[in-house]
Amino acid sequence: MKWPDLKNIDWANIDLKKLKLAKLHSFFSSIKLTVFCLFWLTVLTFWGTLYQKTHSLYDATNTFFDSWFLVFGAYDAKEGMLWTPLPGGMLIMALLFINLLTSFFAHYRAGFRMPGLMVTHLGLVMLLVGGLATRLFNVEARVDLYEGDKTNIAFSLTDWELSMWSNPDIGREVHAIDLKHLKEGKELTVEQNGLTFRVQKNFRNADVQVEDDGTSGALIPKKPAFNVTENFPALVLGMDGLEGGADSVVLSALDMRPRIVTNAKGEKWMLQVRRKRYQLPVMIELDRFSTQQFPSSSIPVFYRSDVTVHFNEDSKRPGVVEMNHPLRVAGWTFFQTSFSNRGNVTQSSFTATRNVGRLIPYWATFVTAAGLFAHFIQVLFMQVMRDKRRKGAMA
Amino acid sequence: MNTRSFLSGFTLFAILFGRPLFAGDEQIVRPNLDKFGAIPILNNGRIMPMDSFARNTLTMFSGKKKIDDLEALEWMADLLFAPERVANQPTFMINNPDVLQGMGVETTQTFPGKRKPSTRRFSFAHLNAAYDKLGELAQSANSKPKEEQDEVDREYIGTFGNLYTFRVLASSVDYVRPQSHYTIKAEETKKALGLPLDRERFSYLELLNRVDKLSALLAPLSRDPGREMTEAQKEAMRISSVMSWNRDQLRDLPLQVLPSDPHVEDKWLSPWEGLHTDNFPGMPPDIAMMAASRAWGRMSEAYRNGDQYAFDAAAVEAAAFAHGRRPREPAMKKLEQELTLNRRAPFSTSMAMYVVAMLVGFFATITGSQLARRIAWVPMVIGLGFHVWGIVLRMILTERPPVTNLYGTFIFVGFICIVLSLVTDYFQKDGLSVFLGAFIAWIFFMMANRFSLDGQDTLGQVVAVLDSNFWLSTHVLTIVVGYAFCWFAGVVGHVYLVLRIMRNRVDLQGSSYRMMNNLLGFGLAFAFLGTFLGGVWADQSWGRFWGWDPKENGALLIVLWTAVIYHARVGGLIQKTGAAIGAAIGCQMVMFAWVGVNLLEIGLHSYGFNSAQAFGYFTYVVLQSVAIIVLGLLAVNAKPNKPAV
Repeated sequence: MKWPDLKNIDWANIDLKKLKLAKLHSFFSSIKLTVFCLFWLTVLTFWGTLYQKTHSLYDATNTFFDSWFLVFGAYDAKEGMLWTPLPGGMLIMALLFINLLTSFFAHYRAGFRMPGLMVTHLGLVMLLVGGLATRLFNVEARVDLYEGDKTNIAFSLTDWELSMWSNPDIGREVHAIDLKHLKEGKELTVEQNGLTFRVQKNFRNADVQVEDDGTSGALIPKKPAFNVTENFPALVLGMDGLEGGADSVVLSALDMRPRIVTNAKGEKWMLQVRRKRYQLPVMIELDRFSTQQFPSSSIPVFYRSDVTVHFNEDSKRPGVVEMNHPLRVAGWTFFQTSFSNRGNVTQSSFTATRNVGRLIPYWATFVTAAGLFAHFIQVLFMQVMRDKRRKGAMA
Repeated sequence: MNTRSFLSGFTLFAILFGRPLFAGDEQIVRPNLDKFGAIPILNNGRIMPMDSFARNTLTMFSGKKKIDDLEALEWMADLLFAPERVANQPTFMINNPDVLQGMGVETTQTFPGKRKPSTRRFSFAHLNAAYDKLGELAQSANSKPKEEQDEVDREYIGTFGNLYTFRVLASSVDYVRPQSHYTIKAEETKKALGLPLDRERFSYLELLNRVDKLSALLAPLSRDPGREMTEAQKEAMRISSVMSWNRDQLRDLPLQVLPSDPHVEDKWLSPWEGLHTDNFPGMPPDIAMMAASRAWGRMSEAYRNGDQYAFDAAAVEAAAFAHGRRPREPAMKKLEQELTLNRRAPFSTSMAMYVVAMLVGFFATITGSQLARRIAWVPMVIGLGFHVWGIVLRMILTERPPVTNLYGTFIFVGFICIVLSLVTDYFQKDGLSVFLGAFIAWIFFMMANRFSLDGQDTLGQVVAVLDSNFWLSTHVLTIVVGYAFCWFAGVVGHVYLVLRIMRNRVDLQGSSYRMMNNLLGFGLAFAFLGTFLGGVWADQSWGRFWGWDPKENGALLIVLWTAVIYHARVGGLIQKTGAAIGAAIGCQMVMFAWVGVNLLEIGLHSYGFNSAQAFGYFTYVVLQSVAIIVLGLLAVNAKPNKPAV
């Protein structure tokens, strides 16, 4: 596709469609946009870093880098608080991506004289694509195991879900909804178990008055914790036709047991707010955890978990998860995160991740860096040659 | 009288009369401490010579490498063998007066020979009066979550830890010194124990040597518990209980100089504990270690008596014991190299050389003298030689790449800047880069010096997460090289602004602008590669490539800012002066990434910074910001360059 050139437009026979396209192209491929985006990303990065001193990394990431817009408030004596929407990290990175692509098409001919620059920008496109792939498809969860225990479940430290199952007396067919999707006012019917409810309240962090039966009573909303893993969300779900005439159910992540809900017809459901779970394709068994410290100090030399990976009933193999040496198996990667002791038993904790686009940033890094070095070496070489020519001319 | 002879006369006067006059006590004769300084000691997971232990401990307490004219090793010897000599020295640094007020002690202390009362350094005697109170305050501060602890809390905890360490170090070899709690007055008791009759105070070791006699004296009581005790038995009973209390109290002391038998257990003990290896449950008595503990005792006595021969003999015996116990330990073979690093101080020599090169290089830049430029190369290259020697010694000692902590980054960045300046000067031949390279290396040496004063071992072990020589050699070195290029470019940016304001030396303007551009370009390449190699390491270690952690963000800021400058320049949005201002601001970005983010004390990378240096960092930020604003405004408004004559 050939882009129209604004300077050479025949203004007498102007094609409005082409003009709009040209303006659009001119805007998106402009170096001013590049400078603005880079500058604003610098500001966001600086601001988002300082923000972490008073808020959590999770909050900073959501506010500055994973957002399309961030709302900035300033106080005015007359008007009170004035809120201004500012571009967020996602918007800026999306603009940079478009800017990179459009300017690539606009300037690719000039790029042949500076191949390093072309390679650099190609690498940056890869980097942004890798970032997008990670954002869309990355799963990060946690596996805690005591020595001798095994599991095929990983759970999120940041995300929570509402899990539901009916017929508690017969068996469990669990349905789970991410709490992020339960916006207040939303009405839902879970077809699989026939449960219908309205989300009246969805608190990110709340204390709860625990009833005698171990379930939640009154909720006391709290400020989100600095450490995002210490948030305990709570829900108030409106339900019709509940046994006993109640019209809502309170659920808290602090509940140790699921809540049994019974309607007037005697149908039962079990509800629980719990950490979001992921099914692993393999079973991980912790055989032994070991750690060592440098003598007479608390500086650790290593942390190591010896595990057995069970692929199915008949197939298994040993593995090791160690600091800087993760275990990769069945598309998941397990990293040694921490450990704790309870009496004589040691618990080892792993971060389990699955990221289909994992290698894209690796390649992007090397391509971009290679381009940068090639470009600046070329510039330096051209400078030296020019100097030599100048000196030769002067002589 | 000329200045030189006046200074010589004054120095002679000070040597002859200064110390006794100012000290106000008897002349102290200290033996030569070379042998003592070479004794191996295990501290913070690392075997080091006593000399290093002394330096680290003194800087941890006082933030200084020496106290007045007392070298760290002399101070340590005094502390171990004659603690009363250092009890009144200005040893403990306390930055916040609230700490002293909280402890209920005077917020200033006057030292003999000092005109002004000290407001930041205090003696052990001054603080020890409130030791219990400080313990309570430290415990209360420690019970708070780390993120809620403020500067005063941290100083309570730190000061209490330092005071405690001082106390236990002072007790580490006190078993040879007569103590008030081992006073025996009854002649009958002394006779029964075979002690000299002309003294009343005895040492723990004297009594330990007579423990059989002590037991014999008390034996009738155990056979017949109802029997009335004689005066001698009462005294023996008291002495015996004080001894066992003393033995139980002084465990896990930091003076870990006696390695246990490696076939039995991997532990190092203090001389106090070494005395009692016949009492460890389930272990055979370690006779050799008990003998080594006694050698430490003889060292203490010889030190107090100023007996050089006996002192050296005991020190050699103690060192030989440790070497004999750990003959194949790699660290034991490197003690000599560490002593060389401490005593020869190659970085101090290169710093001095760089100062000379800086002055000559400045002269060459101003005058355009090629001879001066060539002369400036001599101290530069000598300085570089010492610099490389120091770095290599550090690498041998740590068995790591050159950068494992903040101290190492300053040293290494200084080295890169020197190499860059020499390469640049080879092409540009104007002396400017020699001057700037030497100036920058000198600044980084000063900063390294400052950072070494927080008492952390600059050759210390790395934490498990950093335990990867591959990534330390790739990601860390690359990002640090990126810092060096960008910071150098920023300094050249300042120089360009100054030249632009002066409006002459168009040649230097041109060469400095070109230097800045090239440095910035390679800085961008290295910073980018380093930053995203860090992503690869993070993905390998923690399972995510990028997490917006402060340290990652800091490195990204350098990349983004440099990219802003380049694109703005290419797009014609800024001119040369604008680019120079941008490069100068880049220095702030580098320092934020390098040092500033650690002040936030958050994130996975928050290792290796002491908040006491915050003041220095903010001073730098303010001063440089003012410089950039002033220079930038003047340069932007400067008239066109004067025509070349």
